[in-house]
Amino acid sequence: MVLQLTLDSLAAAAVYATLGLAVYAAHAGSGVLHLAAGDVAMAGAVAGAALAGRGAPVVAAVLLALLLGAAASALLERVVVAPAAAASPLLAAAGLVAAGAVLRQGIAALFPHSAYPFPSASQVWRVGGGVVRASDLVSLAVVGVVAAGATVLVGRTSVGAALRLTAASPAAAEDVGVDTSRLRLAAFAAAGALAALGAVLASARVTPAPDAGVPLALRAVAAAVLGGLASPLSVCAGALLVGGVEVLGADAFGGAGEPLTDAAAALVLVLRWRR
Amino acid sequence: MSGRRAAALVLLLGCAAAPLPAVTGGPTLDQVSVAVAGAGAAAGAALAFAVRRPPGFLAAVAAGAGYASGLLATHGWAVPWAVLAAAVAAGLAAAVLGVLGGRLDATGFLVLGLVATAAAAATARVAPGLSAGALGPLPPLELPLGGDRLAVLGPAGAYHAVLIVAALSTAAAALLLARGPGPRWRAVGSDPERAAATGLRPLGAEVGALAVAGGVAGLGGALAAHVAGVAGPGGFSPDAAALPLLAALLSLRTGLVPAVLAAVAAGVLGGAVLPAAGWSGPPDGRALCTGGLALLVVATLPLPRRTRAGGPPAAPAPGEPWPVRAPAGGRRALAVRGLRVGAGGPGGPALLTALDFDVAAGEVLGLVGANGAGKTSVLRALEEAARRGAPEVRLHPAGGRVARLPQEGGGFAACTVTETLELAAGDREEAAAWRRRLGLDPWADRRCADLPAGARRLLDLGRVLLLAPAVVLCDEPLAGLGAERAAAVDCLRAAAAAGVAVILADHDQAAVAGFATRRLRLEGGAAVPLDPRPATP
Repeated sequence: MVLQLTLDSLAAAAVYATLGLAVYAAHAGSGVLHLAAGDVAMAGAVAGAALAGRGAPVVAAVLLALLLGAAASALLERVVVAPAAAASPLLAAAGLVAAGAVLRQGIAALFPHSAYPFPSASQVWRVGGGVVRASDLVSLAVVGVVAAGATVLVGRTSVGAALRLTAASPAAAEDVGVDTSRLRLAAFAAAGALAALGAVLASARVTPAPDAGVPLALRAVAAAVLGGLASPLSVCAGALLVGGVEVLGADAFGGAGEPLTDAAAALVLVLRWRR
Repeated sequence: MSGRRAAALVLLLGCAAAPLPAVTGGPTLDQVSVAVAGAGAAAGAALAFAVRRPPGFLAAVAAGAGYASGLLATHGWAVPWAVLAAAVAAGLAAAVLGVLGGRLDATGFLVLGLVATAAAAATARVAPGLSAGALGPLPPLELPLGGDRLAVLGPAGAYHAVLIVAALSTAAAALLLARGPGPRWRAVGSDPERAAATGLRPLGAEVGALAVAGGVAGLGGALAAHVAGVAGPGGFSPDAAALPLLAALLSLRTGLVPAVLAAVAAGVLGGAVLPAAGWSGPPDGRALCTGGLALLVVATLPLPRRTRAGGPPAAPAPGEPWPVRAPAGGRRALAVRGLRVGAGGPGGPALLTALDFDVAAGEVLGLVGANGAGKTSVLRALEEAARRGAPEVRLHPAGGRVARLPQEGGGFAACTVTETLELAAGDREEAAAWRRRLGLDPWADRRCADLPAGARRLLDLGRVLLLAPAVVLCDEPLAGLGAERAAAVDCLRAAAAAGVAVILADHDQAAVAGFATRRLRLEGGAAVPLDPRPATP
């Protein structure tokens, strides 16, 4: 039982970590909270699932999901964030909520079914009284690689240095020659690809659908905030806690575990976010 | 009649005379009622945005109020009382969220509201009764008039009654934002730190505005539920949460009434007109119109708010006496002993480990040093230590206010010149005297955000001196001033003559030497006296 809860918590955490890393990437490059990450994620995942549903290889479907996620997020950066962030990060974040609503309706118009199942590894193994799903192992492996890559990118490359400098002071970054506009666009494109990846990884548990991204993304935001938006590893640690609360809450309270997880996310915001 | 009042009147008359071709069937009435609930939520959202508490939760509050009112009515409450109780509960819920999120910045509060809405949606999916679907049929509207209950209103009458109440609540919200607590709310929304330094209570203003916002949204939601005859959890969806937020964003550019009108139009068009015309989606009509409104908001986000026409530039009247008040409670000297000054705040790396100096009442102390030497940090540390009564900063005799003139901005961006001065003075005549002396009469009704930089600096000097401080801490008060520079120097001299101890930080030694009676230079982590101390005036 404990083993199963641990495995499920890790699998849930992997999804929130990937989406949380998307929020982290956008925030690191712009100082703006990517509140349309869930809609961007579903734009990619639904399109990828639709392609797979027509018989395309899974790899092609995943690639399409990542590309569409990156493109949608980059578009939002150009249309909403770039103009509004100059006024205030709040306007940009609120504008992203609005733009997310538009994107959601666009997805619903293009893909009229209520849900689009994404093909996932269905093999399971019984280990020590628990069930290990191949899809969960894939999720954990992917998030491990992504988090390690992001840690190296942020901590040990010139791109990471530019990101950190831009997050601290865009003006100072421009003074030393950083093209903050391109960097912000790249950060949002990377965030979109990561978000779509998170939705693909989550598809074994949450079937991609136009309106399925918002709750996922809000919990991912809570995970990122819990980690202080400080580093990729701190975001993963936050995701571990959020995933654990979700799984333990569902185990203890059944269906009531879902609102309990949202309440925990709200508590995280109240306690960890500062003026 | 102002444009805002005219728009409110048009909205009211339009609602009263609205044609009813689309409200003869139950489902259509339901859709219209959602639009009406949206009006309340949109008006509330604009109120909440005024205090920089972006409301990601008001649609959920409106939906919850509709459900609560329906529940009370089915348990025997008279409908008007059930609606009122639900609106009050909605206001309380919003206020509680305001208290819980009091330590969050605006973006954090936005996310908190969205998470709270998601939690409400998840609860609605699993809670008994809610998960089964809508609550209904609800008792219809009955209005108690003249001691006898009016006959039960039919669909048409109820539709008109609710639209009129929604219009009235929108007009009331617009009025509240313009008058009464409105200036305080907008001041807090513009700059909480400056508002607190002006004697306002940011958390109180935020919670008050949110309570009214929740009440207005709840009233709309509860009334709409009784028009439709059903209540359910539909308002907890992300799209429902987006509509009031969109209206609030739009109101930043257009003002409250046009933004609410746009939200209502989007709701009615998507909820009633498009379905009546045969549009079934996906996306459905309401989602389509929400998306259209979102596009409008996104398209207008980068544009600055339309500014109001003003008069000629500020021209302070030379030679006239300044209406400077003597310090409240009498003249006081300042003694600083062993003050630690940290970069970026008390917890930051130490810039000065033990600062010692005195300033007599009526003296002007110049604090000079290169950029980055720590002048602003010293002034912030002095203000903060005085506010919490730290032993390192003492006033003799005890009591009196230490006020700081910040280096950046001036006044409250979303308040007019008159409102800014009145908030500081608490007295209209005194505020008017300062406005006249500062030469800002032609711009009395102009928002501070629309003033030239020099005029904003002068206005902020007036705001600070209206607080009748014993000590005033001026952070580069002459920077960026052109023609207003002589007036600012004259004003500070008048303040010193009235007994105010003035500390003036500037990197321009020549500017300070012009009228400071004594100077300290910050260098190498120490404060070095430049001139011998003159006799106390």
